[in-house]
Parts: sequence; structure tokens; C-alpha cells
Amino acid sequence: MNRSAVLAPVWLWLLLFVALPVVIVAALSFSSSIPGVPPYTPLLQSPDPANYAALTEDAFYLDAALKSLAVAGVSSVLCLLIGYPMALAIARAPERWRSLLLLGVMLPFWTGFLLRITAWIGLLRDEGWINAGLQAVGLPALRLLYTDFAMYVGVTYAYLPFMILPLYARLSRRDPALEEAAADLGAGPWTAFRTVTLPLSVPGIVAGLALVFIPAMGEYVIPELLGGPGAQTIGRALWNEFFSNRDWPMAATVANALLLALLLPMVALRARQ
Amino acid sequence: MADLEIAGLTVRYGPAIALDRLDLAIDSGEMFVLLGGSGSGKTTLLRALGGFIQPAAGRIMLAGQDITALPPHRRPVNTTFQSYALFPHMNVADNVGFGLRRQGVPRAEIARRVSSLLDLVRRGEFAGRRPDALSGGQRQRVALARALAPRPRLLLLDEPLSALDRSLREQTRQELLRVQRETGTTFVLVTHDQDEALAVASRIGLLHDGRLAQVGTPAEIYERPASRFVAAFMGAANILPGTVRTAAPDAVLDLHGIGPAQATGPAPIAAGGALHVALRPERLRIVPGEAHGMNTAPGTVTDSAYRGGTMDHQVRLQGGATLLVSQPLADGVGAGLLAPGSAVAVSWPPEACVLLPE
Repeated sequence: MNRSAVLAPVWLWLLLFVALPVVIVAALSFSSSIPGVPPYTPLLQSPDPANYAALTEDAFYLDAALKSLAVAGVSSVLCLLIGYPMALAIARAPERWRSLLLLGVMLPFWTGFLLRITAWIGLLRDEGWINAGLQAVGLPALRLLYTDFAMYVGVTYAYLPFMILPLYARLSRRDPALEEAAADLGAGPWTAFRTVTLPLSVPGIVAGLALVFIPAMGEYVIPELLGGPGAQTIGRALWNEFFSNRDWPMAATVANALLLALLLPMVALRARQ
Repeated sequence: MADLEIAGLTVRYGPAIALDRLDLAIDSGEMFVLLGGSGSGKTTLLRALGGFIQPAAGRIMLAGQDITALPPHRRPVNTTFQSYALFPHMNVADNVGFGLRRQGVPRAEIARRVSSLLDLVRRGEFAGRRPDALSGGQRQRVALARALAPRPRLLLLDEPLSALDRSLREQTRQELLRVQRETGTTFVLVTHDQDEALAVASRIGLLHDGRLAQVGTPAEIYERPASRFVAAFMGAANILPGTVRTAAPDAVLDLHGIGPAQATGPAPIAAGGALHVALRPERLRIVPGEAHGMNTAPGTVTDSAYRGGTMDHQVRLQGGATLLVSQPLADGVGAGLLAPGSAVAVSWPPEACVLLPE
């Protein structure tokens, strides 16, 4: 069997389920919303960039994009701060413990995503377990659910494994002799980490940040279930255009804009390397 | 006065004992070689000196200071690692300057010292290169410069030449000796290669099963091995059991499978006692004619091999023992290949008998 025959299913898959939908969504974004089935003017009949104009004119979309940027940015940094020590601890654990600890990291995937996010409602709500704990030790109850705090907790919790796994992959391949050499040359544990371990793990950090930031940017479910009404992220805006307003072309425009906003910086970054 | 004093050092890995109550004193400015096979404890001792292993018992004193409990970054000891362990994300100059930055040396002073260290190892032109752009020999020299930069009281070298090609090894060995002379630093070098140890050491400590089998100058270890193990490790292929016939003034021995043999000097034990005798292959000669008298034995050649500088013959003696004879090619007789089955005589001078007490 030659190369192209082996790759044919891959190309077919990418064509049918990646390229074609992107083209359809792109075409849809240039049509207009009408009452009826389907709820848009025929594709490519009279391409109209009005939706993109609306995107820039209506502050709602820009605010939603900025909110998403904040959610994705803060959550990625939180995941990094929490995930790095965990990944390093697993990488430094004795060999026989490592697969067990990694299994622990991946264990949440065995339960449905929605179920796990819903479980946080039980923890965070006014009469939930966290508030019950606070009151048990004599502290006042806090409003946790339907706040930005709850949303950040949810996003960080959901995406933490995507930070830990690439970091672990990088850290587990580090050469222990390099850390010994740093110590030998007078670096204490923290200095050895700062000057040797950390810089050498940068590719893992970049991979982890990308794996958390990109899906968190378009996240819809967690802000919807845990966040307050003010947490209008771009994902929620898209959902509302599609399901509440039945404005498919506008939803497609938002989706396209999000795709471009994520893709263009990555292309630019690659071109620079 | 000894610079490094190791007393009763014991290291355990679980139930296994890697170093067993080891005592050793090394003088300032020595090129001390720790020699041993795998599992002998030589690397364990080096790592204990570097601070990477905590001993179960014992003490390490360096320049009068007890460093046993100090972590690696607080010891005036630096190491060149077997894999070199150069930092891949730093260029050569930053690698060499790493220890100086940790000491808080001013930037201009670091630049000056890094450049003089790179000159010392004759690699000044590599300052801006990354380690992965260097060959093995170049990395070795950068690792040496980096370890010397903080001006350690003691430099540890873990198998510094083992990763190098044979041709590069000799040259690098000369470099190591020159750098050691020029800096006057005490070097402790670990190797499994007895030729390397003989070539560079001021003294050798031969380790076996976590203990020092013998400590001495290369000549002492090679010519007066303290035990059968030392003799065998240092390449004595012919080790024969014997009995003392006359103990003094010069020992006369009965070598099992050979016959009577004359040695020089008195025997370490009384007449009638059992011992072993090492006969170095290069001290034995194939001689023409019939064997007669002491220190000569008749036999037949079983194998003959050309080894470049010498011709190596396996000779089965009439008494039953087999001897390896390394005949220099310059010698007339036995300098060519001998057909298996050739009848020959093997002879050796009395001083070739090395007596090994049990």
C-alpha cells in the first residue's frame, strides 16, 4: 500500500468534518436571517458582510469577547499555577507511583462532563456543602454560585488535566543530572528550579496553555451553569443567537470571528518561528 | 596533611551495602583515581562526596570542615558528570558562568573568568555556542571549565573519558593532567579502566564490594598487589596456587602444576604455608631448547595471537597449568606465530614472581 492510500481516510475525514463545515459556516455568515425553514437566505446568493459590521458596531459582542478573553486568560494561568506543581510532583514520584497518579488526573474523564459541572452546583450553592462547612465552624455563609468566582472554579477544574498532561509529558523526560549539576554548582532547590527545570519545561507550558486557553475561550456550558447573568461570554452570545434569536447567520459570524481570533495569532506565531 | 578525610563511610541502598566503613585520606593537589568494576561502590563514593547521597554512617572532612551533612549546593566541591550534564538552554559561556552567578560574582568579573577558563581548556572560540553544537570532546572540556569555575576545593570527575573515542581519549587525558597541574585543584576521578588509572593517577584506590582493596601509587598497585583480586583486576592473567618451600632469605616456592620457582625477597608466610603467585604475561618468555633449572617449565602451545606490540601465546605446561605469555615482537624466539602443539619452554626471572598472601 502506498502513502496516499494510507492517508486517504484521514484526508476524507478532515474534508468532510473539518473543511466542509468551516466552509458552510463561512458561507452562512454572509447570508441574512429570514423567518422560515431554513431561517436564512440561500447561501452565496447575495453575500452581505452586514453581520460582520454588526459585530463591530454592537458593543455587546466586543464585551462578550473581552469577557471570554478574561475567563480563558485567568483560567489558563490558574491551571498553570495549580497544574505545574502537580505535574512536577508526578514526574518526580517513584516510577511505580507515576501511572497511578496519572490515572488519578484522568479519572474525572470517566464521568460525564455535564454531570461533573452540575456536581459543583451542589458544592457551591447557598445551602451547599461549602457553605455548610463554613457555617459549621462559625463563619458566615458566602454567595458562591452564579458568580464569576464559581465560573473560574468550574473552568479551572474542568481544564486542569489538559494542563497537567502536556506538562507531565515534558517534565518526565527531563534529565535529573541537569538538576544535580545545578545543585553541584551552588544552586539551592528554588534557584535550580528557576534556572534549569522551569526554562526547560517551556514547551510543555506553551502546550498546556494552548490546550486550556483555546477551549476555555469558546466555553459555553460552565458560564451558563455556574456563572452569573453578567458573565456574557462569547460562547453564550453564540448560543443565544442560534437558539434564542434563531439568527443562524449572526451565530455563524460570531463563530467565524472566534475561530479567526484564535487561529490568526497561532499562524503568526508559527510564521515567526 | 590530608585535605580530604573519609572515615567509616557507610552507604546502604535498602538492605544492600554499597560502601562498607570506608576510610581514605587524599592529599591536597592529588590526582586520585577511584578504580573498580561495576557495583564496586566507586560511583557511590563519588556521589557521597558530591552530596547527592547521604551516608548511613561515617564522616567526610574537607579542609578540616565536616561536610557530611551539607547539601550539594553548599559544598566547595564540583563535579563533571559522566553525561556532562551541560545546560542545553544556555550557551557555553553561560554554562561556565553558572556557578559564578550563584556565588554572586559581579558580571564583568564573570565574563573575565569565563573567558580565562575557556582559554584554560583551549575552547575560547566556543563561548557563544549551544552545547548541542559541540562534539563529545568539546563538551567534556566545557564541563571541566564549568566545574572549575567556582574554584572548588575538590573536583570530582565521573568517568570523564569513557564516552570519548579511543583517539580522543589519550589527548583529553593529557589535557586533564595539564589542567590539574595548572590549577592545583585536588581531583578525584572515577574509572573502570585500569590503563586509564595507571596513566593519570598520583594514587589509585581500588574498590571491591564497597571496600578499598588497596590504595597506592600506580607502580605499587601494579607491581605489589595486595591480594589476588587486585592482581587479577590489574591484568595479571596468570595466578597460580603454590606452597612455600623455603621462606627466607629469598623465597622458594612449589607452584602447583609447574614445579619449583625462585622468587626475590622473603615469603610473607612460613615454609609449608599456601599462597598464590602472580606471573605477569609480559614478564614471561618463550625460550629455545629444553627446559631445565628453576623458573623454567616445558609445555606445548595451544593458541597464538598477534596483538600488535606483542605476540600472545597460551602455553599448556606439562605439569597441567596454563600460562599466558606476552612476547615482545622485538624478541627473536616466540615473536612469530607458533603452531598449536609446538613444544616450547617458558622462563621468567625471579623478580617476576609476585607473592599474594590470601
